[in-house]
Amino acid sequence: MYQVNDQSGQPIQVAGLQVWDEINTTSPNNLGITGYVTTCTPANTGPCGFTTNSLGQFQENRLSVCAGACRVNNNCTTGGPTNANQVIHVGSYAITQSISYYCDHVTANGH
Amino acid sequence: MLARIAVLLLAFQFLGAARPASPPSVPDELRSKLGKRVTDYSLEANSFVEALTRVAGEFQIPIGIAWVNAPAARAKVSLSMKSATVLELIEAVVKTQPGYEVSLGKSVVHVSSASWVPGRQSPLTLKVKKFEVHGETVEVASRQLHDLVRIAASPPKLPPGGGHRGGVAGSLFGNSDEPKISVQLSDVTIEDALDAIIHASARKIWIVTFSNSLILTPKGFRRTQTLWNNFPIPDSEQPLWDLLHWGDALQLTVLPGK
Repeated sequence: MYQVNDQSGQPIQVAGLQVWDEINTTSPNNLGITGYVTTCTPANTGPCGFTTNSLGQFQENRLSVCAGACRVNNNCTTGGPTNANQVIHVGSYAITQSISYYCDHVTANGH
Repeated sequence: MLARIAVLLLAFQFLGAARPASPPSVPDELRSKLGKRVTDYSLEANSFVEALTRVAGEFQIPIGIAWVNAPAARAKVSLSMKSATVLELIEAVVKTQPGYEVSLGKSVVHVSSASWVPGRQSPLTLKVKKFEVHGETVEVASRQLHDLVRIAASPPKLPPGGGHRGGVAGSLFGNSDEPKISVQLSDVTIEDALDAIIHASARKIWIVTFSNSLILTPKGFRRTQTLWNNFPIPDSEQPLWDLLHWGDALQLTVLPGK
């Protein structure tokens, strides 16, 4: 879950801030990712109706990946990462976090 | 206050236990709501779709709207009725648009137009063999349904040789207050599945906005848009729908000049 805070770290408990994201590959791209599906459609556009709740919170439902590189001889295999920047827009502001996609897990800012 | 936004703290954690899906409403409950009589009702809206969502929200009617983004459908609506049932209100709004009609689904009121979009051109008539979500957010349920239908409506082109190279990654934000839902369906249309999603979730309105263009997708379906933007939707992402809560303001991005 994400909490929107001000610059001093205090929660901004405001509902209705529009939330959307953009994801772009950086490097390496070991999974051969060629496209993204982001919160809004078409990818990397927004907003599309997802908003903060009354506590100024929103959640990431899922970070997912589906790549041919994760299957070898019809069996699952490990691999990665494909690194990407995820720009999260909240209202008229945005921050960027680093995403690493692996066949068996995804990390955000190294977590 | 927005000017003070500087930091988004990231804290991965699971929300509390998922709330169960809403208890099933029965047709009698819907009929009772639709039969409620209101007096001295007046409504002004920027389009008949907005009028419908406002009536639906005010009287808590689950509704599915399939409309064509034609100039006539974007006309303002002004309605005033001395005495009418909620169903008559909905019908009065719909009558402002030639060709549209109201029908009752199992638990959802439907507004659509077979003359604007014949059934064979509507992706809502596509059938899925199985659609199941268990304890997921409405956003995940909607995306899973979208994944099913977009593959049926626009099968992906495999590279020469048929191999699966490349890949797709993604993300999906959502409102942390939305209840988790479970839906289990087999051999149903996309319209049935959308009805089931709004029946089970806090989103009580689905809207499919068809493009006014008569150019169909390669599979012969009318193209769709989202209410939220004017970006062309690639065939691989067709069809789209929007899910709203009762009381949500209708986005008018698809209107001219917006």
